[in-house]
Amino acid sequence: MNYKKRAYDPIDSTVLFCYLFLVILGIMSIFASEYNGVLSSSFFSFKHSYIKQALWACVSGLMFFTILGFDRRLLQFISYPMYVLVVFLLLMVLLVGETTKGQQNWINLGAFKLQPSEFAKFGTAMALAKYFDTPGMRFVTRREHMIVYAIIGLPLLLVAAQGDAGSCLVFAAFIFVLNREGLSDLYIYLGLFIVVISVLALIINPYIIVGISILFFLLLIYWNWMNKQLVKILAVIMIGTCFYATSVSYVFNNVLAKHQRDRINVILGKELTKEAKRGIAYNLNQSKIAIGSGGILGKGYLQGTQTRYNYVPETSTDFIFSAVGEEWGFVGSVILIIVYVVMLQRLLLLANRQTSPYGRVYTYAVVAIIFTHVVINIGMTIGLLPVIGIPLPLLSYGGSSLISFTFMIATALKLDSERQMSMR
Amino acid sequence: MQRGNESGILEKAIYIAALILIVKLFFLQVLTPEYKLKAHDNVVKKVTIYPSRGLILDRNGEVMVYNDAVYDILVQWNITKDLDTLRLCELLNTNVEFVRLKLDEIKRTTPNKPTPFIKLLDGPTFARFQEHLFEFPSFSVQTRTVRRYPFQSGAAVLGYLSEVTENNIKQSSGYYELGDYMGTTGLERYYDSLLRGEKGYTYQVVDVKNTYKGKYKDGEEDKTPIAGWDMVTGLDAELQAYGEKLMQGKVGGIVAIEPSTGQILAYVSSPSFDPNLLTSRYRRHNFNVLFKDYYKPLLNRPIQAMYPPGSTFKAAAALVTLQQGVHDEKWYWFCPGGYRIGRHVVNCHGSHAVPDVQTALQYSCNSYFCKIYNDFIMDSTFANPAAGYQKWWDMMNIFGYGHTLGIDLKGEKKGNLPTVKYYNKVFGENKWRAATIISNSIGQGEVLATPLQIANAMAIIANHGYYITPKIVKYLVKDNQYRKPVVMRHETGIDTMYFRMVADGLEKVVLAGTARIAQIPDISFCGKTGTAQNPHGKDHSIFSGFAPKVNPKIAIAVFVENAGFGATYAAPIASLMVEKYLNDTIAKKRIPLQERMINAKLMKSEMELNSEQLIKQRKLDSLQKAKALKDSLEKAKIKKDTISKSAPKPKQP
Repeated sequence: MNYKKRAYDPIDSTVLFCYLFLVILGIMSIFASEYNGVLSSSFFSFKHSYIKQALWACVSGLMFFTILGFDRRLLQFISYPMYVLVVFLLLMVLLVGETTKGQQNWINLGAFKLQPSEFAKFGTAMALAKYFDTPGMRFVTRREHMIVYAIIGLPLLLVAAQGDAGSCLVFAAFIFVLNREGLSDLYIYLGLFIVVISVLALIINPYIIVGISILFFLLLIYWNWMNKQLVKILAVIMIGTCFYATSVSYVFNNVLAKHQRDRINVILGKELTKEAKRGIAYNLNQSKIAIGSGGILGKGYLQGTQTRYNYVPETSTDFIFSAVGEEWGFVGSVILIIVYVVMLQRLLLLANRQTSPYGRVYTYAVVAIIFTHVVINIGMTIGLLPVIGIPLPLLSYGGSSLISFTFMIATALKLDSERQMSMR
Repeated sequence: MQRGNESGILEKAIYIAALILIVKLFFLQVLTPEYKLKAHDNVVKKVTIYPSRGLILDRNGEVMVYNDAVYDILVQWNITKDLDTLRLCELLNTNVEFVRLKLDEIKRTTPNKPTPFIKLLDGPTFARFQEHLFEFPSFSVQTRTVRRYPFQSGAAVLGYLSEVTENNIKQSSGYYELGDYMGTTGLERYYDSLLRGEKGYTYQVVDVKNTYKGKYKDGEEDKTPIAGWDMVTGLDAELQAYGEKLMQGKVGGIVAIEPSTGQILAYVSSPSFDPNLLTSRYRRHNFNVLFKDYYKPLLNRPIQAMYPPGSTFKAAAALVTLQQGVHDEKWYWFCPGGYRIGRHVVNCHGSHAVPDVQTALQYSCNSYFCKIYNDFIMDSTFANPAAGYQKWWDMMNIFGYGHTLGIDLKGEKKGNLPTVKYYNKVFGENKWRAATIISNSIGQGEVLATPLQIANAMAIIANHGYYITPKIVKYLVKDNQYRKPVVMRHETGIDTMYFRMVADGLEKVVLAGTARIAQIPDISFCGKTGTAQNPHGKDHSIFSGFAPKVNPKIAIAVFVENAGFGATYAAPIASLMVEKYLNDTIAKKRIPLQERMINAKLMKSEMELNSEQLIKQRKLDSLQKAKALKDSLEKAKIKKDTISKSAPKPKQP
């Protein structure tokens, strides 16, 4: 092979194009959600979100090139310190953080606000990758499992303490990474099963679920009577299901905060309090009206009335998809989703062709993080999932979010372009 | 080096999740068109632009009703902060308590949109407030128009506007919306669809805080309002105001008609009120006061109050008798001082000779008219009295009695001219004769007429045989287009020469008869007094007449309730009206009479009303059921309910 020393190794152009597409669409949509019909002289004023976002995009670009200039060993070297730093920041948030909308996740640094939970995601990914890269690590012993769970669990508990349900779910998505590294598929199916049981238990009487599951599992046990091992597992699952189904409503009513219950009730179509009707249900309905009124081809850029006239709340941040859906319609929304799918699938490909566990685990974690963000964010704006304050990667307004996603993608690309190095 | 699980669960999960999102989006954006409507409803607000309502002018071009700008002060509660309540009170002339209560109410009902805070603020107060409007950013102004009446008169005929009811909205087939105003009475009501014009609309784009963001589609779907038709009436505004002045302190009505055209010159319902009262900020309070008033100022007496026409009926009675040829002009009758039927006597004013019909009218001889009426009905040419009465009824009916005349106002009553059928029911077929129902001959008994009908009957005599449908409106005009109310010439079929005879008699009434007080210098005034006997109080004073005798310009009927003889109040008032209309001024020697009429106060004060037992039976004659007089009533032993059926009680406004 020909090892010519170049300033930059070639990077994957598909991911780069997707990245640029999303960032530019993001700035355009933020502009659209603030545009009031006239271009005033203060167009370039820094008080506008789109100018700030464009500025953050420039910062991100600089960072992108800086990262491409890094040596991968540096990344590996800073992995653990980075992890320690983000855990420290998460602790600081709990101590001195500012509280907005029931979530305590900002640190005010004067000029701008820092949201450490955004950085915690890739910090954890790096630490996880670094640990899997430990020589002799095979992810089989109990000790290895415990350390892996601890690496993920510590920041998860801290963001949970902040009341940031969205970030919790993102950390939960690390299960896909563990699955890739050898954790059985059963755990993912089990997670899915728990979600289904939870939803069913909230919609219908839990005792009906208990009855049905006992009947179902007894039949399974009857058919597999010869396989003693399977019978044991099935029995455990059956008892677990019964216990879980009956405790869901208790957890729902006593552990979850009131606004979280309201958000779930809206999705499940349950009776709402007056406050919830005026608050979350109204917001969600306005978001659906915005997206639904976009029709097939959309109203055209800068023609969205719902988003521009503030009927949809938080249009530039969490509900930016409403602006896209309204102005670009079904076609535009589908294209946006396809761009995300292409980018994620391409990153998965890059992960799988990584030669070192570090690159593979890290890239896989990046895909899992972005995937969770996209699904939860779009899902909530169209009423599929409860409203959870979580940004749409690269589109939503917010410096912390844009920089952290840029960092993840840039490092993943860097690792890919340098993948031969670990073979040397 | 590959390791671990190659199942690619995340890869599949991405595809599956993307598919689910796309399917949901397909349902939302492609299969649910309602969202487009909802988004439209959110953003686009329809704002009504009210057209200016048509003006109302009198016959000389004087403006009787015009539109004046008033101002509603609106407040949007959710953007109100740091309100300087004291300053606001000072500027708007209100008190702190009012501001607090009103803001509380708005907070509870519509905090998110501009809501009326003070309605119908007058110009000067508004001008002062406007200078300081910038101090109250959540306050805004809505300009509206209200009706103004420079002559402060004509409330009964012009009518007033009020907020539409659910029923009005239904009947207007979608034109009116909640909160609109429409004509409720008088001309405003009758010509509402023309006066109101057509509302315009503008579609505005608003944001979630209801702030104006621009026109929808650049105003493509906007509609400019179309102004209403202006209305020129036949009324004489000065005469109208003069009539109301003469009638102040008295209950009753005046109707003056121009005989040649049927146009109403004056239309007085007394007690009257200043129509401006019902347009001001305090209109609700004022309306309640008027509504509860003992004398019912909201009742439209000229067409809704029914009185016995009394002796004014005799002119028509004489005409039908002459036409029928029962007796001629020179038929001689000696009045023995009354007309006896069985035990009952219709009294007259002492015994005297009546050499001709003119003399009969001049002295209003009761027995003469009883006799000719009796002879008309009992004439041998008729098979029975019922046939004779039917003929008499037919002829009186074409005189305008017993049916509505078709004036352009709602709620006209038809009076009462009892029919053969009615008497058959009461007395039984063939069990009654002229003598049984003799009171009709002198305008008493069951006969009831509205002041309009009596004035109209005079117009027929003035015209020597016909009347034009009485109308208040001459024409409506808009952009050089004209619309006229449909009028018809109604012939009576009575020979002109008989009218000449009767007119001579009516002239004598004023010159040397019962109404000498009504003489007007240089004008030949023909008229007839009437004193309607009233079973529950003092007699009604009535006068009807026309002037001048040759080529008449005005026919008039005056009713003054419980005022005694026709010559006491009704005749002088009628003569003053006629003099005012024909001469524009009142002769100097008649000024004392005018002052006496204006100052006469026949209505009871609030205190008197309270002290009297009248309180127990708070009913006015004009509100009473038709009550036949003793003579015919007692003989017949009529049950009350049969009467009330034939003559419906006037509805209260």
